[in-house]
Amino acid sequence: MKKESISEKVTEQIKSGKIKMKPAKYFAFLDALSIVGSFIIFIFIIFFVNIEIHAVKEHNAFQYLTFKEYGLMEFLQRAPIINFVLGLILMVILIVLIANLGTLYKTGRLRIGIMFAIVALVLGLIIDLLGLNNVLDTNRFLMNFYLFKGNNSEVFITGWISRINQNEFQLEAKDKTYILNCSGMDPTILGNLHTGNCEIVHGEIKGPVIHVEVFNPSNSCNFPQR
Amino acid sequence: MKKENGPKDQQEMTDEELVIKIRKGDGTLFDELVKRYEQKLLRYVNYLTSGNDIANDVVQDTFIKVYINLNSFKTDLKFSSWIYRIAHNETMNRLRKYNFRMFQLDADFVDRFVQAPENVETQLEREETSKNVTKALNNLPLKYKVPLVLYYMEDKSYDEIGDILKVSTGTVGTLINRGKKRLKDVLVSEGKI
Repeated sequence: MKKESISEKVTEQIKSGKIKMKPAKYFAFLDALSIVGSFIIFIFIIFFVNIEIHAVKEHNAFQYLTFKEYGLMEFLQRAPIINFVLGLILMVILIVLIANLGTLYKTGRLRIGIMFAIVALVLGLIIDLLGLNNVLDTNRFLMNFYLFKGNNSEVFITGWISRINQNEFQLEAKDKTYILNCSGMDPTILGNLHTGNCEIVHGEIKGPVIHVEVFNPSNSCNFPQR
Repeated sequence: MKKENGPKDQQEMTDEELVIKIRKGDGTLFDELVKRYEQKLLRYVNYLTSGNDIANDVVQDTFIKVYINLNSFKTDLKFSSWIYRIAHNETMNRLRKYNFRMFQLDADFVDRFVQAPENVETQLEREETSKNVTKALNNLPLKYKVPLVLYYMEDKSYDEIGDILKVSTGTVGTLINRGKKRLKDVLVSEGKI
């Protein structure tokens, strides 16, 4: 029996219609999808980079790197490392997508990655400098990314302080997630405020606006969430 | 009356010209592409699969994939690089599927590394060297073996290897240099050179 060659087998399948060429539109659609996907991913990378920059700036995180012991841990607690990790994962996906577009792989994946990282960093800085973070952190969906928590025992509150009566005050988070009642003579001296089991470890008050870091051991402090 | 392409016309056409005609609906011309690459791809796949029976299936599947995805071929790439890339990916998928941890090369491949002999004595010496280099090559990781096979056996340029493996030309150079260095290290450690 005559053995069929590869050429004969393939030609036979083409002639019988068993295999069909995918239309050009199909590939054009896939290319468009890749470009749009890359663009969306890049927007998210910029967003995560921006949040990271914002958090590091807000908590003056770099100063903790100068600590001899636990410096890095302190830094990581103040800089939301999860955003950095998410940004990095998205960057890897972006590089894979971009490198597969046309012949961009010739540029080299590392070079593509560095190029996009620099652009994302610059754009993240610009967004923060323009003060867009102060608008974005009030968005119902986005505010979750702005809740910078050092660890389970620390809560960062950015919001307002209001007087309830002569010796009682209320710290209310801007995003409405936390309300903390406290008492004391002078609300501008944070160290003198009594907050039950909590302790205000760091913060500043500018008029009615507060930004405080509250130590909340074992979540024992009353922090009702709205 | 419809003018048909004679065999001479087909043979004179470049791969890219054939692709354009096939895309326009002349499916019979695909046979010419298959004929041009059948032996080349079989040889390449055989190098990667140690002459295993799967080479024929891999090459057949490669041509089927090429036909199905012909509209995705972009002319800024050489057709030969594109078809080798598909064959390479198909082979790697098959190797992963069957969990081939190694592939063996025959001594013909190694001859490319060694200069032509001048007499019987040097020929015998060369054969011995070929055997040793073959053994050393079979112990190299795939990422070094593949560029070496493409460069020395398939006579591909750095640019073409980059297109096949989807890496930059610089990376190809690095892989080939590292591959050769590793090869030398293995041979030195075994006292073969």
